[in-house]
Amino acid sequence: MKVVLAGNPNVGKSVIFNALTGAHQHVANFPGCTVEHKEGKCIFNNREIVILDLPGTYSLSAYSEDERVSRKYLTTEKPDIVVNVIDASNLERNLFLTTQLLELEQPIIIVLNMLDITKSKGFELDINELSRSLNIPIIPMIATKGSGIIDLLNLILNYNFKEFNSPVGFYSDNSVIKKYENEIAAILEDFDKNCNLKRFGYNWLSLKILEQDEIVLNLIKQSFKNTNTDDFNNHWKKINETIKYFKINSSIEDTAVFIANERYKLINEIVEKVIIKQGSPSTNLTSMLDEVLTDKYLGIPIFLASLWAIFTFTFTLADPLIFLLEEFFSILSRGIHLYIPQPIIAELLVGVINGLGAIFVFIPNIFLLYFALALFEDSGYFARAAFLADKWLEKVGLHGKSFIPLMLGFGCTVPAIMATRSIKDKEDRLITLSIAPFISCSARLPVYVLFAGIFFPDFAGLAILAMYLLGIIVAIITAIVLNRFLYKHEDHVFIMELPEFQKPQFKIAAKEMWIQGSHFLRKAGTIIFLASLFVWIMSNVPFGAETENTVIAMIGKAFEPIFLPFGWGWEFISALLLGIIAKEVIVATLGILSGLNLSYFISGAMTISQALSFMSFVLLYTPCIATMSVIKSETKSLKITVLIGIGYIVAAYCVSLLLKIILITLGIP
Amino acid sequence: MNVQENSHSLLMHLGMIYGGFYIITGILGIILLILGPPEIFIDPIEQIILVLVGIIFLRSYVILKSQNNTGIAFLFVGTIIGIVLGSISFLKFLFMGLIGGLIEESIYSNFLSRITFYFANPSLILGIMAFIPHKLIKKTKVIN
Repeated sequence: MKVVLAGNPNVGKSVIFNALTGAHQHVANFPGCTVEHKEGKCIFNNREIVILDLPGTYSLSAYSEDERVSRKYLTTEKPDIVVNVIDASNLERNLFLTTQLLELEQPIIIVLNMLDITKSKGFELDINELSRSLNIPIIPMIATKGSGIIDLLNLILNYNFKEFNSPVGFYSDNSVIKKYENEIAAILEDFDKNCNLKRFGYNWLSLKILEQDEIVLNLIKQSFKNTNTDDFNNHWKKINETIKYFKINSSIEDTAVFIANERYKLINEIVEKVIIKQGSPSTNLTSMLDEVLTDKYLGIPIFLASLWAIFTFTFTLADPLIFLLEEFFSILSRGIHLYIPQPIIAELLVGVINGLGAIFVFIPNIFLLYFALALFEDSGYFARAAFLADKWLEKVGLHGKSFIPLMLGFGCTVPAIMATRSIKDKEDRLITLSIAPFISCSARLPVYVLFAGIFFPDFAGLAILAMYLLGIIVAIITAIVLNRFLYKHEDHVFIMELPEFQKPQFKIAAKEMWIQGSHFLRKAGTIIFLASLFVWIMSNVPFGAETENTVIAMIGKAFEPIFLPFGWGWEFISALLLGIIAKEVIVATLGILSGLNLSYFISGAMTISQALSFMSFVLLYTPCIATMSVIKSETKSLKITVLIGIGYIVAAYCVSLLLKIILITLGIP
Repeated sequence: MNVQENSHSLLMHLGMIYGGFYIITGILGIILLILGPPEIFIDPIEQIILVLVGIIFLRSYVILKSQNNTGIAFLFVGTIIGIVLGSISFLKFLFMGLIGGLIEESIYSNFLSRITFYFANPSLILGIMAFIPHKLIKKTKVIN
């Protein structure tokens, strides 16, 4: 049995999906969190149910890539049951999609989620009346607390198709539209001998034809392209004539707008019947906080202060833990030398431990960063940040919708690039995708923490924040350049739903921290482990040779002339080259080459200006392999991917060199 | 939205007093950072945030004075940022000063100087102070 979860963005579909399947899909309280459909399985009462979580969509007239995914799936795949998740506190807006889903002639269950919020807004819903009005079974739910999940599963297994026979043409009983809708449906049915279109529902297709929906018109042309040309032309002519007569007789200027209005009329009638007012709403903290946090002048400084708080919190709490982990790995290395008699095996193990240990010591930083970000996300503040950023992003040719992928980039660039699917405009999407890797991901954090701890022990939080801000500044400049010289496009209005503010829940933040942090642990156990092994071999071949004469040294030295203006040693250049595999490998490589006395080694090998230019180079140069492959798959263009890769090296080189020159000019060695 | 008259007046004056406190402390810190001896450790961002919180508090005073109760929101955000700043300062004291000092087996005087500094840290003191208006706002009966 295949069940699909569909609904508006930010209604809790992913929370329900996770509760049903036991998955750990990322959930957030801002729209655009899910950009591709996710599949999971659930066994209930010894029956297997395949659950699909679709990206949120406001209607079946999809515009952005993620909305198209949902629409395509809903209209072509025909699941056994569609579970339409609805935000109970925004019934009117959510029912718009429901009216369209009903026309697809599929079994539907409505999940009325977030019922706890309606009470604070001063109303309750007559669920039985709503079910009667729509002729659909309804499950009340508070997904975050897990209530209603079992009821939903029971209903899915015992769904009575005969009892709930959804009416077709639910939108309206407007006689003009109904007449022409039926006429077009009859033409389609007559022509559709192979029944290719039946799965969409002839009435739904007819309505879309009247709305002049280009995707549907192309779909029909595609479906009929192999049929007899004359026959096709005749039927196509009939359809066009019907549209023409419809326009003359209906005197409707824009059919899509008219049908939308008709839908809303009906929705309003239903909403009036089902809403039961319960006194006045309680004090709305959200509207109060929005006054300040989205303030014209104070909004941005408050946001920057919040970022500073996140990084300072991360560094402060992790500092003693890093020291303890360093001690642990140091003892482990000494123990191996003592208890393993074979020198080659001992050296190999110590080498790998040095590499892994160098990166493992920053686990507290990474976990704490994810925890702090999750607290902010859960509070509802990130969505406000997108709203604030809109004004500034507009100046560089983007809009607030680009902010969400960029913010996700603080965690990992790969989901950030995938999240650009929620951006409707192709050029906006390409610009956002091109600049997303400039936003510093958590893999680069160990480099900053390590270098900031050595060179700026008292201002480590500030130094780390400066790196993040540098990434944002370079991203903004790049967006301006791309917008001015490469892509010319129209401005778009940014509309985003702001979630309610809530007290962030420790449990949710801790869970999110563990999910994201465990990705890092897995990566450390696989890619970084293998990379450490590879680096150790390269730093010991030919065997018995001095480190200066090994393969890794030769590679680093070969590139030294290119990096001459920076004055970095070959160890750092080799680390940068290997860092393209994954940014964590930079610290792992330095750990192997320095033999765990990393801080001592770096402080002796670099000056402040060299260290800062190295940090900025790590921030800006070519993204890791995983990111590059996602860029390739999302852009479907090798040319763009290569250009982005080269562009990042050029940007890193120029900015880092400029930074070094400025620092030396200021008298900082 | 109306707030009881007594509470309104009290919150308004708290906004003014706290605004003054935070701004003066922040500016003093910045002056000390520029003119003071280099051994004194002052985080410039922390001082700027203190000034920012001061501005938010003063804004709450101005808005509340014009009988507009949205000023409470400014007071609320000011106290939250103040508390967060104070908490970070406390964490610095606890982790970098106390635990950090202990596990690094640092020189006793260095360890002591860390503790002395973090106890005298204005962010920590102002952060603790911010709990007062925060509690008052929560207790104030806001009528719609």
